[in-house]
Amino acid sequence: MSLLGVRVADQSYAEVSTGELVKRALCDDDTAWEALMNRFAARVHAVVRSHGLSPHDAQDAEQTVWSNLAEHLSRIRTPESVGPWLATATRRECGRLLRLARRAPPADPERLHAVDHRSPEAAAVAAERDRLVRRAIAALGEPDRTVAVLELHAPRSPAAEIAEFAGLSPAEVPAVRRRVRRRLQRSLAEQGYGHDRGAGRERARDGKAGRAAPAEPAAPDSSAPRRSGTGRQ
Amino acid sequence: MTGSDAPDSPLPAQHREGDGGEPDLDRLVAELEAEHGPAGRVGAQVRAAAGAAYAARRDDAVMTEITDDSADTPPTAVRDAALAEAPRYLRFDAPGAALGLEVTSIDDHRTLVGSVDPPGATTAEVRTARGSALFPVDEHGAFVAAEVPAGPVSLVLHRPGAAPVTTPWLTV
Repeated sequence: MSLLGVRVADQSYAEVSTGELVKRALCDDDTAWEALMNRFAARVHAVVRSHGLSPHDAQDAEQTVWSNLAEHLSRIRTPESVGPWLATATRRECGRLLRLARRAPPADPERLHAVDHRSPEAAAVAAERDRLVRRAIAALGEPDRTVAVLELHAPRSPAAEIAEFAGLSPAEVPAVRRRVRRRLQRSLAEQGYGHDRGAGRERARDGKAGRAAPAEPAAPDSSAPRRSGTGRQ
Repeated sequence: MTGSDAPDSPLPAQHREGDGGEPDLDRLVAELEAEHGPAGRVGAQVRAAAGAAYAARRDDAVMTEITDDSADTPPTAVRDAALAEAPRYLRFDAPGAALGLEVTSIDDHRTLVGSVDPPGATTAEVRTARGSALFPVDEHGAFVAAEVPAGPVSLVLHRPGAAPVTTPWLTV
């Protein structure tokens, strides 16, 4: 039951509270459901991305999280707390998929991921950086971890969005963000991220290729496409 | 809250709204953005799967929770490779109903062998992103669902004269 005897077709859902969107979605209002997904898409995506899953697993994780939200719409005790619910559900599903990926059998060639066009060096450097970043994030507790993930993978999110996802009040966000940024910065510096990258930047300033990967005469990026990963697809 | 303590970054920090004084972090964020692009909207395939789950949701069902998942508790003495062929075991519990599930992987498909306790459910509905399929449950509470596509799955156990029992969605 709602005040909305009439539904205005092109009504903007941007102004509608999350709790109200949940209520409307429960009344089979597809537009409210879409609006709910759109509202949290970038934040869920950020959490998924931060786990470094294969593209296929990442897609499964997102599908599973949204499917679960649909099933839990009527069961979430406080509809306004969909944000923290999603943050937790996404983290949990990604963790499960990471553990499952470790035991996945080698895949058939036709189900491997898309061709990776990066040079082996660039791919290795990026993988090492991602490991380092995940370690830095894993060292944090909540709500800092969620804030850190958004800081890295959905940068410049408005404070209100960070608050709604991390289960904070908007007033708390600036202090938590500062703390998280300092800790990440310290952790990155300690693990040597700055060193490599600094060198890379120096080279870039000299007019050479800017990656930290060793400068190499014309890496055969595109001439020798490689497949990577052992996942499905 | 330690937000107001002295800046411990080695570099001079000028804090405006949590910004500045973190050059490595800023560089990392820029790098990640260049690599992945901005996090945007939900992709078409994800949206379709979520829409199907939204349409097929059972607000009336008794929801179980995952109380055991062999993926969460891998045996420590076994190498990962040795687990590759082993089934995954899950247990779902709700007040008055429990479901044990064995998931076996064969390429892109999964075989689900279930055991409902107490028996009484007559049909197991396997919901996936591509739709639902029904499988009979025998008098001992056992069922087999073969050829289930890999990906998100949720089960609904239909019981005569009682509310259905459902599992959360999970990727198998």
